[in-house]
Amino acid sequence: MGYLFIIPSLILIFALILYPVFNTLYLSFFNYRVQTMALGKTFVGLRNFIKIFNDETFFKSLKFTLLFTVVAVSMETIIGMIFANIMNRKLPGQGIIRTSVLIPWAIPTIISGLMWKFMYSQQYGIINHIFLKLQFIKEAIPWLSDSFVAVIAVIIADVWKTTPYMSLLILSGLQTIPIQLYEAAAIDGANRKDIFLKITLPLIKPVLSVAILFRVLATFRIYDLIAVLTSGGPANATQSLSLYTIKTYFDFGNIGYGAALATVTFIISLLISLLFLDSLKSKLE
Amino acid sequence: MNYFANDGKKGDKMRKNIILLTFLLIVLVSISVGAEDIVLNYYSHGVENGTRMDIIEEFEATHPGIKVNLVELPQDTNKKLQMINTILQSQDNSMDIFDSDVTWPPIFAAAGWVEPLDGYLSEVEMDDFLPGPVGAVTYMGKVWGVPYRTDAGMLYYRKDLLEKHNKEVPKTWDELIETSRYIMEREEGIKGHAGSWAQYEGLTCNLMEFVWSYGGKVFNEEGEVVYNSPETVAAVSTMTDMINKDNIMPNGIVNFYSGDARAPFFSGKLVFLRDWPSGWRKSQNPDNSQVVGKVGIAALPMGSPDQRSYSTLGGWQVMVSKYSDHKEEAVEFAKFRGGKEAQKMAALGLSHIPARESLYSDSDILEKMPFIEDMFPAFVSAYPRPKSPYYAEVSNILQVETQKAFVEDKTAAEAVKDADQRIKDLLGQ
Repeated sequence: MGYLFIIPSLILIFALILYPVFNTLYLSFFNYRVQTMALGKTFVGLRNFIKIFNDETFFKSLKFTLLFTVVAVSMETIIGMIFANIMNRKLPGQGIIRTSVLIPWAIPTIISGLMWKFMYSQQYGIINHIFLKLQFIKEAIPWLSDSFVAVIAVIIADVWKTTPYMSLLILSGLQTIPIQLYEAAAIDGANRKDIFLKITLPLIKPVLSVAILFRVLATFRIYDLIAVLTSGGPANATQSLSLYTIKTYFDFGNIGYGAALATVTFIISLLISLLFLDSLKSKLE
Repeated sequence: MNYFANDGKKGDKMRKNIILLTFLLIVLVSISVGAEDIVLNYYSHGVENGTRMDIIEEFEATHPGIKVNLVELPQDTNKKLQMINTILQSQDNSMDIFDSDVTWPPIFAAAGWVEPLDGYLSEVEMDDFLPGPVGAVTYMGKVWGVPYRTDAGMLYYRKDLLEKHNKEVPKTWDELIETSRYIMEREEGIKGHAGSWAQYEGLTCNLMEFVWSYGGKVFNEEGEVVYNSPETVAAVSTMTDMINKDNIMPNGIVNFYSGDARAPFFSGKLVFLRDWPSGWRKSQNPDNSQVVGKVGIAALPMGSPDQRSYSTLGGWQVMVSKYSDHKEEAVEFAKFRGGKEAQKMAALGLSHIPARESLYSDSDILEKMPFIEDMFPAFVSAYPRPKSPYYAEVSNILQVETQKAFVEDKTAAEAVKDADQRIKDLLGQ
């Protein structure tokens, strides 16, 4: 009887999650293109996947995506931790501090992407303008037009945008720590470093690993921010796996190969979440 | 507040009247629509200022029995294509007619999703269209759409600066580089040229103008890839040198979209600009331009004096879905939409550049858009981008490989050779 009540959600899960996932998996074994759709699809077994492993563009995108994920999430975690600690203190004007930390998260990605694009501009961008005025630099930095600098620029924009999310989750963890523990530690004469490493960190570890897992998965699939900032350029230097997949599937109309790329992206995300499985299971001692 | 309570009877009467009126309206509307009216669904650009609705009303007035229902496509061009693709892929009969960008006809024609229009259009009807738009809707010897708006890349230049330094409007790219350098040496804070050279479709448009003007091509008549040629290498070398050697392009050009290229030109910091006609009005609007009255327009330069000038063709056409239940009527509307009357309405109401030659001598249009007279040579020399159902992927390969030359990952020759190879691989040649 009880199962009747979960049928609606089961239908939703099937229609919106399982069907698309399995259909993508299914299509990845076919040579199937919009351009030759009239001829139908031909089964090619694992050939799409073999092609991926010989695809220079795929590896370039994978390399960029991994680098982007590792650097961006590490920076978000560190800065997020600092913000969370500030937000956890009893300070005058705490409400304003918390709100202002959260603002970047509240701005839609497309808009913050456009905003950063204006600020990065070499012609009229405010960042170059200020740096030049203060004489930090002699020539405008080619923020989005140099293969190397563009990677840094994209990371900065993403860190700015998503650090608030991290600090909010960490803050929620910090607030569950009983104040008595800190009082006891203070009486025992522990210094701040010990308090952080032996009390704060272990106690927020479950929250922190969930937060990092979420961020890693989301960052790994980054699309919108990069689409707005660089569309993957210059010369594919900032093309993420999702961007490449979407271009292949929708813009190029290569459904079979696009589905195979999506499947590989999915498997890598799955492997990443397995890495976190252990720390998610770990209970408070 | 207490209207009904204080004046109950009056309120009741009013309510009755309203109900009666509503009823009458419904009856009237249903009579005028009639059960036998055919309704066509037209997937179109947004309504904007209402001119599109005026065109539809005009069509409905002259074609009793057919109604046209405008369905708005998304703003972004790629999203438009995705949506149309999805509808056609599922053989949905609810879309009868749709707007198509200039590079799409081969995609739909090859997939067998659209109705060929040869049987419906006489040669006389096609005669008035400019050669570029006709070329764009022709694929595998058949006509697949009716052009209703054209576009072409052109050279904007600073009249005042050229006059001051006693320079001619450049005829070749080499002259453009030379003139730029000459003026850059004598004017503070000025750069030479800009275009949309970021990694997106705009780069393909700009690139093809260079390649064609040097005599290069992507495909030959038989559809074979012939991109790797000394002519193409010369064209890509010129572009790369303009950035890295001659240094006439603004910094950051490899991430310039059309707006980024316009900004420095409008603020008076560029001598030349490659842009579409849509930039013209903005360049002459004192609110966002400091070069009002100082801008001239010319056809784009040639690769060498014995070549000709080429502009990349842009523009839109209407195509008829193969899955439409009312193809006859849909074709009627397509013909009307690309007809003289509708194109004139769009020119006056939306500043769309007509795709029909006879409209360039129309006095109303010339009064509203005097500049199209100067631009006409560019529209006539406009040339469609490489035609292939795989166009989007071909274009992406060209963009990425060309940018590799821009950022000096590769030489121009290597970039051209690699692009050629990758397009061949893609098409199985």
